[in-house]
Amino acid sequence: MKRVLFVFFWVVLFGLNGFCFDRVVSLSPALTDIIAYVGAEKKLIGVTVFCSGEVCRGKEKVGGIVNPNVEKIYSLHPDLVIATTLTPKRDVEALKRLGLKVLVFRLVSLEDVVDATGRLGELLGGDGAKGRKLLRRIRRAVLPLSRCLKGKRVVIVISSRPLYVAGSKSYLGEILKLAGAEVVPDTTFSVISYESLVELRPDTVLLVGNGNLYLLARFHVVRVKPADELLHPSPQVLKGIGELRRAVCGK
Amino acid sequence: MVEVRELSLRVLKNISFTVPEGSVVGVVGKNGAGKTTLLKCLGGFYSYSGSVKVNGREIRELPPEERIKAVNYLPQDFYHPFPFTVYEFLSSTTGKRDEEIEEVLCRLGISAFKNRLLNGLSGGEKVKVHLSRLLLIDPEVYLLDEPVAYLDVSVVPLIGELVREISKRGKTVFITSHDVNFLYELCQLFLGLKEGELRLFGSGGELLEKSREIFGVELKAFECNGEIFIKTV
Amino acid sequence: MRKVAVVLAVFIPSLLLLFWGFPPTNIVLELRLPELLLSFGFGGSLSAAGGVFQGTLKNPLAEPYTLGTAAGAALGAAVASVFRFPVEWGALVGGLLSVFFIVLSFRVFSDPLSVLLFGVGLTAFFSASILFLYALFPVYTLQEALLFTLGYIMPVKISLSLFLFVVSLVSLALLIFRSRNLDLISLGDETAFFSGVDPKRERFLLFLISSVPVSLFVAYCGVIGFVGIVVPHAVRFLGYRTGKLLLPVSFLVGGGALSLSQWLARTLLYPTVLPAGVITALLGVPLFLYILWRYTGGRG
Repeated sequence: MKRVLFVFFWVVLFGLNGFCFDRVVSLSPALTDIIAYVGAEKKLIGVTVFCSGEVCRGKEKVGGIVNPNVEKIYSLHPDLVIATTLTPKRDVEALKRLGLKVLVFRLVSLEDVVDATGRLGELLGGDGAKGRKLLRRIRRAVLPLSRCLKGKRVVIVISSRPLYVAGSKSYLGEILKLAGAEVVPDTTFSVISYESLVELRPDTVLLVGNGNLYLLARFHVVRVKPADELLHPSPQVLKGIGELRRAVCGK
Repeated sequence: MVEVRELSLRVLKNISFTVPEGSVVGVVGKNGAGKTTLLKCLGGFYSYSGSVKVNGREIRELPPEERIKAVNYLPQDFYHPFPFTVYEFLSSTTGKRDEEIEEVLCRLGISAFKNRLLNGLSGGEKVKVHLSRLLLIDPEVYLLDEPVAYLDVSVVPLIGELVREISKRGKTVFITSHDVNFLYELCQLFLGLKEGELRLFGSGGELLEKSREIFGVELKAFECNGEIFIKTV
Repeated sequence: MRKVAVVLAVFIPSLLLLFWGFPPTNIVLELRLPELLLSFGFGGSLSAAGGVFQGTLKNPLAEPYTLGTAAGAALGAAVASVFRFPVEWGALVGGLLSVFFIVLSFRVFSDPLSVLLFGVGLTAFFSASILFLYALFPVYTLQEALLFTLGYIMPVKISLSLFLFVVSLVSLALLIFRSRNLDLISLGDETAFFSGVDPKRERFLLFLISSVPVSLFVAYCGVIGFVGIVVPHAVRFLGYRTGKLLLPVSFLVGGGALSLSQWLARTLLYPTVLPAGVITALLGVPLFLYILWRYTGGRG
C-alpha cells in the first residue's frame, strides 16, 4: 500500500511539473507547427535545420531530424525536448542521460496528430482542448471537398521516383476519407511499384508536391501545389486542405 | 643423411633416393618437371605421401623450431610489397643477435646493405640476403631453389665457393638451376626429373649420358685451359 | 621527430574532440568522452586490422572496409536488430563469417587484385542486403540505415564505449604479441614456413583477432572506410616497419585520424552532424588512389 502511495505521489508531482515547461526544443518541423498552433511559439527555443517558416525565425538550429546535435540541444538548457519516432532511439537516450525530459510522438495517423496537439496544448498552453478543436476544424474544412471527391478511388502520391504513396491509414488518407473518398492502398506510407498503381485503378491520382507528371500520364492526375502544408502531419494541414480544395474542385 | 621413400605429390611420382651427409646434389629437369615441388617437399612445406627423413627423423613430424634447423629453403620468389630493411628481415626471420647478423653480411660482402630496404635491392642482392638467412640458421640440409638465376656472372663463383664451404662442414645441399655448367662443376650427385619421375640419380657423367632423356637435347663436356664446359650438341 | 608527429597525431584530435568550444563538464563526461573512446578505439582497431590484413594477404590495398569485413559485421548487426538479438553478437558473427570468406578467397585466387575485387563484391552484396533488410522490416528509417552504412558515430553510454575501447586494446596486445608472425607472413608463405610459422593457421588467427574489435565497433558506428588503408602506409612511411612497432603506432595514429574526422564531422556544418565515414572517405580516397598508383603502376 505504501508503495502504491509513493508511486501515486510521484505521478501527481510529475503531472504538475508538466505545466511549467517554457524552454522547448523541437526535433520535428511538424511538432514545431503544432507548438505554433497551440500558441506556445514563445516557449520554443530550438528547431531543426529544416524549419524555415515564420515560427522559426530567431530560434536556434539544433541539427537534423535523424542526426540532431545532442550537445547543441543540451547547451540551450531546455526543460523539454520533443521528437517524433523518426529521431533515432540512441539520440533520445543520450538526451535523457543528460537529464533532459524528452517526449517522443508518433505522427502518422490523424489521431496521432490530434493527440499530439492536445497533449502539447495541455503541456505548453494549458489548453488540452486544442486537439479536439483541431479535429472539428478539419472535419469542417473537408466538407466542401466531398462534393468533388465523394465515392472516388484516390491514390495519394508524395513522390514519383520512387513512387511513394500515403495510404488510407495515414493522416492524409484519413482526411480524404472524411471527404468521402475511397483511399487506396490500405497502408500508412509506403513505396509501391507503378504496376501496382495501375492495378489499384484509381479514379484520381493526387500528386502532392513535386513529381514527374510524365510517369503518371495514363492517370487522371490532380496536382496540389504548394504542398508543404499538406505534408506536415500538423495543424498546417488545415491550410493545406484549402489548397487541396482549389486543386480538386477548381476555383 | 637424407632418405626419401616413395614420395608422391602433384606431379611427383613415387620418388625414392638416399643422399649421404655432406653431399652437394644438383636437381635438374625442364620447367615443370617438379624441381621446386621436390625441394619444398624435402622441407616439409607440402603434405606429401611417402616419407622424407633427415638423419633418421621424419620431417613432417618435427616441431617447427627443430624442423627449420634440420632443413631450410631458399625461395625463388622475393616479392615483398612492404618495406623492411635487411637487418629487420634477418632479425625477424632468424631471431639472431646483431653481431651474428653483421658477421654473415660481412661474409657475403653485403655489410653496406644492413639498413637498406629489401624491396630497393636488385634480384641478385635479394638472393644474397635470403642466403644470409639460411647461413644464420645453418640447417643440416640446405635447399637452394635457383640461387644463381638472378645473379650476375661475377657473383656466381662466390655462391659456388659458399656451397663448397657449407658441404665441407658436413651439411647436405640441394640446388636447382638451369645453369648446367654451374651444377656440373659443383655437385657430386644429380637428381634428374622428367614429368615428375626420377629418371636419374647419379654422377655428372651419368647426367651427360641421360641428358637427351631429361632435357631433350644432347649435352657434352669439353675441356679448355684446364676447365670443363658443358655444351649442347 | 617522427615520435613528435605520432604524439601530436594522438593528442591534437583528442583534445579538439573533447574540449572544442569549452563545453560544461557533464557534456565532456557524458557525451564527448564516450565519443572519443568510440572514435579512437574504432580508428585504432581499423588501422591495426588494416596493417594485419595488408601483411597477411601481401596486399597493399587490403583493410576491413575494402575486403567486406566491416560490411559483413554491419549486415550481422542489422539482422540481429531485426530479430531483436544483441547487435554485438550479430556483428561478430557477420564479421567473422566474412573473414572466413576472405581467407577462402585468398586460397582460391592468391593474386592480390582478385582478392580485392572479391572483397569489393562482398561489400556491395552485404550493403545491398542491409538496405533490402530495412525495406523488408522497417525497424529503422531508410535515412538511418543510410547513415549506418556511411559510418555515423552516435552517442552511447560511457560504460559501453569503455568496454569497446578495452576490447580494442586487448586485441591490439594480442596482435603485438604475434607481430613477428605477421612480419614473416608478409615476407611470403615459404619464408614464414621456413622460419617456423604455419602461415595458413597464423593468417587465420591474426585475421580473427583483428576483426573482433572492428566488428563490435561496426555494430554501433556503422561502416567507416579508408582509415585502415591509409594509416598503416603512412606509419610505414614514418619508418615504423616491423609489426611490433607498426601495429601500436598504427593504432595511435588511426585513433587520432578517426577522432579528427569525427571532430570535423561535428564542427564543419555546425549544428548538423555529418557521418564520420563521409569525412574519412573525402580525406582518404585521394591518398588511397596515390597508394594504388604507387603499388600497381610503380611496381614494374
